[in-house]
Amino acid sequence: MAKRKASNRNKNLEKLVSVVSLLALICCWYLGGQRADTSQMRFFADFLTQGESVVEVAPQLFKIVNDSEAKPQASKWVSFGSGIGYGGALSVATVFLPDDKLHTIALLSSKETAPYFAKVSEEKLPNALLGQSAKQAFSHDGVTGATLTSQAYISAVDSAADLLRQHKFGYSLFEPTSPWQQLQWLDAAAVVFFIAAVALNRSRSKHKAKLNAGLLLGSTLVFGFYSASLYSVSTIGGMIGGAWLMGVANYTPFILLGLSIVYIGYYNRNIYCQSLCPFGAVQQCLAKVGNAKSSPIRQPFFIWFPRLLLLVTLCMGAYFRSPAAFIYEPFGIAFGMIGGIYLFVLTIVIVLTSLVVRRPWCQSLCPINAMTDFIVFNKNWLKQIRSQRSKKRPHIQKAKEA
Amino acid sequence: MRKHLSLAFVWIASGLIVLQLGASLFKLANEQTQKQVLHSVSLQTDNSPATHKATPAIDFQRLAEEMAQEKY
Repeated sequence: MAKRKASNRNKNLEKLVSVVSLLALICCWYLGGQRADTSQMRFFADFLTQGESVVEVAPQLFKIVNDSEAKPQASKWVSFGSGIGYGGALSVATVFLPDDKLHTIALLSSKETAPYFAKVSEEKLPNALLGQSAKQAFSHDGVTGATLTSQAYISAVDSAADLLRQHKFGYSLFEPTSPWQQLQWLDAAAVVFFIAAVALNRSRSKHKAKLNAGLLLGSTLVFGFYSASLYSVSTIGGMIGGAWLMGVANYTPFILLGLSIVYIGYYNRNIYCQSLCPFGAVQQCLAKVGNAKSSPIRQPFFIWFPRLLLLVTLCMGAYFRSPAAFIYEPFGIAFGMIGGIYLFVLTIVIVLTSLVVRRPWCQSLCPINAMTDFIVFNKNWLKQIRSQRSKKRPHIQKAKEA
Repeated sequence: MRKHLSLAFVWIASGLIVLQLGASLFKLANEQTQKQVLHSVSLQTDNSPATHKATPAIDFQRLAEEMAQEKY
């Protein structure tokens, strides 16, 4: 009896925490929206010198004129543009000289993971674009390891240049891409792999374990080492915030996440972790090498801490409108050597522990577990409410009839 | 032994994650408060002023007068 009471109390607490989590997320999203976007004003404040003023020529296109001249001529042109990156829109300001050569590029906002843009900057891509004429489309080979971010940057500069092109020369070379054009073969592969995982998990084949290992290997090669398309906290944040509706350069993580959520909603477990997660596969391989055994930690603190971590990360991402800025998983380092020093050390720690403990990351801190718990809990709660209502209905009907 | 290692792993990993999130938050908050653009590059144009070589001023009239006064 006492046990039942304690369990009910825990259930009520979990319900309260679930509602509070949703409210906190909505609150952070709302407060983030209240912050004014002052990036263009900031740019003009940095860029303009004394005696210069700005004249708007067209939306997002401005000319800089000297106040001292009797008939002010454009001394420079300023235009703003944006491109679609891995995490969403990336916007830039460009300055063109009177001879249409690109003089300055300033990055105003970015939803990319910081190390990706750092790589673009280190490879001197922005410098390579300087000096090119607005009369021609801007082009440059992407940066290996940050392909999507570098393409988004070039696209943003070209879209800004196109405004000047249209105004001065009357033609356009920039074609805006719709979200549907971003779909690629990897997205189809994600669907195929997921269907294969579902089929395999429902089958009673003798070779199930071997087939699952093959699926994990294929997924690791395609979604891990080839494209680094694993879903993470930033994908969950992007999914909640609607970044996928505005357009992202890579839909594969969103497709995998969406399919996983549907599967969890139906079967109460995450098939992705078991059969598709490339990082899980890497840990499993290391476990085979070191003959590691499972050792889960059952203390309540270690169950609640990853949930709190996920909530705080999602809230910060929603407030700053940049979920990719708050990544804490080791996937970037593991599959692309992208990430800061803390993530690098974390990856090393996971790799070493995987030799002794089976899937240490999956069993403790992976945010996908916290997400799965949240979905399953709320699904069961809704189910409970429905069954209670359906139980009450016959009584009400009987009372009405009486 | 394995249990202890698992526990140590969670503590270390949690510490590293908190540091990572703290660093990200600090960086983003700093960028917002300092009100600067995130990254900027400019073409290095050669704006050094043209230098004129200083030439000695020669008073030709005086030079002619001095030459006229010279006796050999």
